[in-house]
Amino acid sequence: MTIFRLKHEFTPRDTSGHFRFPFNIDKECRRLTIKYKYSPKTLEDSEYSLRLIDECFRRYGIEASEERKAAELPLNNLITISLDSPEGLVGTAHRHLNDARYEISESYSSAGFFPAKITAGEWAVTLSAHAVLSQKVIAEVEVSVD
Amino acid sequence: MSIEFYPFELHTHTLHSDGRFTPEELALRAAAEGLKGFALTDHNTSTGNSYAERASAQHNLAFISGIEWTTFFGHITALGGDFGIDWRAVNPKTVCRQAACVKEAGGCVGIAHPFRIGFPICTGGSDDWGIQDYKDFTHYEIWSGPNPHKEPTNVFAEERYRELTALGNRLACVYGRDWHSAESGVCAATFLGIEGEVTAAKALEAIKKGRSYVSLGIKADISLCDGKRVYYIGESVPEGEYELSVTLTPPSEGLNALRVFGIEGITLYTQDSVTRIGIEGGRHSKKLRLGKGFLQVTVEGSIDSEGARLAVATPFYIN
Repeated sequence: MTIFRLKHEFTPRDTSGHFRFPFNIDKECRRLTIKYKYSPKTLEDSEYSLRLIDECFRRYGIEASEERKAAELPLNNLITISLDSPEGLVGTAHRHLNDARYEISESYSSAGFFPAKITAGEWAVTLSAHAVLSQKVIAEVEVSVD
Repeated sequence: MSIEFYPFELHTHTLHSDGRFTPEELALRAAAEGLKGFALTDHNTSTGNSYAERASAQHNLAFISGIEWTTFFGHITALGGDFGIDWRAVNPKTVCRQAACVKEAGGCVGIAHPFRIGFPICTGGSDDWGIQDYKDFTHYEIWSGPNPHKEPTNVFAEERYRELTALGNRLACVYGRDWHSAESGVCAATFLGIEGEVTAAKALEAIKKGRSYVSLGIKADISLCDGKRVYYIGESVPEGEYELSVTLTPPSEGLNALRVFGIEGITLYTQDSVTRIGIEGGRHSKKLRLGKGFLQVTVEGSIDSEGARLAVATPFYIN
């Protein structure tokens, strides 16, 4: 049963921010499933990307060849997801996969999350914007329990 | 019992964050490379630790549980547990307090790849904390990634490390491969000085005491003797006259043992001088008068005919 749906638009100004979205679980359940995706994954404008890469190398005082700079393409958007139970942080999925499904239960949880009892109360997902480079990145979260 | 230095890898990732290995595969590879132990430092999660610990036991490796706080302002490796700290709460205002919590709980905490290129290539990758006083930290990653001897940002990190040392900070120098996958290239290790049986607890103790050097594989026995006692790297030493002994041994097994090493010399860094000394036969001893400050030894030479800094040690601190 789906209990929470979220669609959130990120812009570059959101970089370096944590965005918390609480939801309620009415009664204890066996398993919680999160479907999480965001798009686009990469900054598709390669000319703009190379400009950003060039500025970045300059900022860090590194002389880099055009080949070295091009090796950094494509630049990635990175928005990670964390889950909080009423007791606190259950885990974080810090990876570049941008279309994923995570399971949490008392006996088993997906990598990155600790096993946790799905108790009644206020839970939350947090989307952490490590890098939003595209002018618009859409993140979608769907939480279901059974 | 004497102190022996053993190779460890202190910065690794698995499928529990963005690495390609399972914890079991990582342990297998660490053992195959001849490491004596490793720390798992997945990004913002410690769920892989229990798996890696079980796998390490099968390979007789000392396993250090850990986590890498992968924040927007810099990355920090916390070793010895996850300490119940929520990585989202680690920011420039709280970072020193959180680091102090790790130390108080018996762990080690240090700055990872301080000069890694940051946003937008590796967000938060560089040390942008604005920390002035590193007293709450135990270690500083002066070398990072595969081929550390070719990476220009490691030169910046090494220079910054000496600046921080000159300012009175006492940080163990460490290497972090930042091991995500089966990359090709030359890798280094952090050699930790341990007395007796090699355990994770003793490895953490070595980091806290600064008994460490980073190396491409060369074993570096470095000590000071005042005629009465022997001092190891990372120790406080009174001002005075000493005999510095350096013995350098290319690896006969384990890390990079199949590569060809050439040892050309050592460099002695103090608060206000840099002295280069040629070495033949891998041994050197020299009488020194040490004034207040520090004495750091680095080793220069070649690996597979390419010129390289072969090792960098945590300094002696002269009181």
